[in-house]
Amino acid sequence: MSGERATVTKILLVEDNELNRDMLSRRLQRRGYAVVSAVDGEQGVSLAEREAPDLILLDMSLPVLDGWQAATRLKSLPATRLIPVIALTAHAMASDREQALAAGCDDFDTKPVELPRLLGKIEALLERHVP
Amino acid sequence: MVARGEMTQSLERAATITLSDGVNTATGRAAASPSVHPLVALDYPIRIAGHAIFMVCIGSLLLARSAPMAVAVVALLQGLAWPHAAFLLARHSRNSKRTELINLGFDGFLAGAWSAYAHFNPWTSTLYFSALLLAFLSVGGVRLALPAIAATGVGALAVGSVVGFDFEAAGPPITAALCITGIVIYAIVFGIKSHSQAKGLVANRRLSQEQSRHIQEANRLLALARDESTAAQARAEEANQAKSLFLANMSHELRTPLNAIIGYAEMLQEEVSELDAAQIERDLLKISGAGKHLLGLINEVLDLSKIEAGKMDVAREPFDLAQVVREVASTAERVVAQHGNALLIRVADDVGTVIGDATKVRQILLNLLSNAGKFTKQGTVTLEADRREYEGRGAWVVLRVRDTGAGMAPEQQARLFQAFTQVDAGLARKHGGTGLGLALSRRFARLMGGDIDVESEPGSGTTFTVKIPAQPSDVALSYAVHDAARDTRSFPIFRPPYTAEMPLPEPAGAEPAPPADAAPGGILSTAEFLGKPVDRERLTRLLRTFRPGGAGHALVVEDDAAMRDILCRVLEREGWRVDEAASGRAALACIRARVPDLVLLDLMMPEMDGVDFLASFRLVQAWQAVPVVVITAKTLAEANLISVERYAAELSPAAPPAVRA
Repeated sequence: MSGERATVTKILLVEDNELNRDMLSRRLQRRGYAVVSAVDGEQGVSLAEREAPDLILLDMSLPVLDGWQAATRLKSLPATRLIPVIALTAHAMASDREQALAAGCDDFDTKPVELPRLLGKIEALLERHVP
Repeated sequence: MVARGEMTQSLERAATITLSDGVNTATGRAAASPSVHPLVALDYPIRIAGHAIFMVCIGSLLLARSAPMAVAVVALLQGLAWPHAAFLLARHSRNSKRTELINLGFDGFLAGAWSAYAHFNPWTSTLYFSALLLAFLSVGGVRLALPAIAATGVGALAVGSVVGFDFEAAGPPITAALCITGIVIYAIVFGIKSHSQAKGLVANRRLSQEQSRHIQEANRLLALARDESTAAQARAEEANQAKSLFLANMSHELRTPLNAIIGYAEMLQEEVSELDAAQIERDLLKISGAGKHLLGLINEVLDLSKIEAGKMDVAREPFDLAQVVREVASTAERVVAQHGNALLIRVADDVGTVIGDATKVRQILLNLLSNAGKFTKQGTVTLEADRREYEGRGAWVVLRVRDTGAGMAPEQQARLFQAFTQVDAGLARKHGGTGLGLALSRRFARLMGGDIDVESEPGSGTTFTVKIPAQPSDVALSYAVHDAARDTRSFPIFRPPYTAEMPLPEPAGAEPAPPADAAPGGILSTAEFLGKPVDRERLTRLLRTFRPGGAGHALVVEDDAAMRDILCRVLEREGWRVDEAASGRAALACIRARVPDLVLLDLMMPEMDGVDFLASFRLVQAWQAVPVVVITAKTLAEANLISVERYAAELSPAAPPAVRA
């Protein structure tokens, strides 16, 4: 795993909006990340188990299983609980951040995404999680 | 307004009526007022007529019998003077009704006395006695007539015992004739008087009916107005809530496509720059720039709505003002330079550290600088930062943004800080912007306990002056409280003396204060966040004030499992060990097992609610030092809040020393 991470970092992007999913995954790929996408919370959790990504970008307003539920589940499954999760929401209230963190997310960012800021958060979390 | 006018009228009417028949209710004040008991008023003319008639009749009899002169004088006096004397006596008495009853008794006594003196002459006796009975029965019924008959008997006995009990059936014919005439006249006078009384009674009743109708109508209008205002308030609250929800949702809905617009534009910029297609890149820059501008506007609208709903948090953290000014200047440089302006920065050496919200200071300055840049051409924009001591008000930070632009007339300045009003619509089209920037900046400054002023003259530039306390006290707090008071859906989150909520930072390495001294009961409102039960950030801050080092032991008393779970998580994240209770009763049992360092209390619970719990909890001496943070739902009635405050004031460790000891 750690050897794999040293070559290419795999990010799971869970986002229901097609445009945003396409845009962000392409931008991340341009920065050298491998990106796997899921369109709802449930698919996100199962992909996380199957693909074992290095980091998860999780939209909060998702169908089937919303972001908070997905985060709670991710943090309770042995296979996924150590994967850092960054919550992404288009809600910009102060309490959204706290709610995301309370659901177990490791960090939080708002949409529209400011890529340098998001990359900073991704790198900071990856650094912390590399053994 | 209509209701109020009509009610006043009705009340005036009611007052008039009370005065006119007020003798019923205000006999005790009869002597002081010109009005007397209606009995007195009724009896007066009857007595004048009756006694005059009787005087003539008895006079004819006395003449026929050549009675002594003294007796004739008595009869004359009685006929001419007694009715007036009786009236005056009653009128000047403290209780005119009682005096009149005595007068009537005396009338009876006189009737008996004259009958005996006239040897029970049937004509005079009949005249006097029937007139008397008529009067008594009409005004007082049998209850009054019986004592009057008794008084007549007493009079007859008294005089009879002196002059002897002779019975003389026959009398002079003139007396008989006079008596018959007298009875007829008396009956006429009495009848007319009765009729006018009855007429007055009917009119009175009509008036009182009308008055009661008016009162009913006034009450109806009042109830209508009250219902309407309640409904209007409910509607306003609903609309306000809907507005907040709409804004939050709209913000979300707008951000999602914006995310794509800005993201694609930025990505294409990167790709295109590799292809070296300069024009496409410039256009893409415009797309992402427009997207970011739109985002800025959304944020401004959202901020303004947060402030108006009393939901805007203000940080109180130390920051280096000079550094903030430098950052702002480098960000604003481009905007200011757009119209060929120079940007000058002057920062006094002593501005030092400020405790406040650096982000908001930054926003204010950026706003003022970009405004100055927009409205100035080929001129100078100056940003100055100073620190000033104001006597009795401590240290303040004074920030000035001065431009050499077109300036403004006073009427333009007046509208400057209102939301959604730019000085004129043409300027808005030309320069962009929602017109929210200055309104927001002033509100930010006020949230921090300061303000923004403007000085300007057409043609000679504009100066905006921002003043903010360098070490804020409770000024900002009182503003926040005031703001929250305007919002009927929420109540003040922090009320004095619950100011422990926003402490100044403790010096590093300071011993954590024991909770008893550090923590008066704080009031935390969940009404604060729409659809979100608790503002975690605020709760976290609050927790830190109770146990700066964390690692205490807290008890969460909350019946809602989800809410309890959230509270526990926040506490645990802050390093607290947590016990949970789902009711006040369970909480007391929990506390008996282990006394916590802090209690988080929901007010509305089954079994034993928060207020009852608080009452029982504070009764135990050993538990009185434990701070309680009350978590309230937005439907909490003001009454409940008051009772909580009472306990907090009476029983919390922050109470006066007498209670603490």
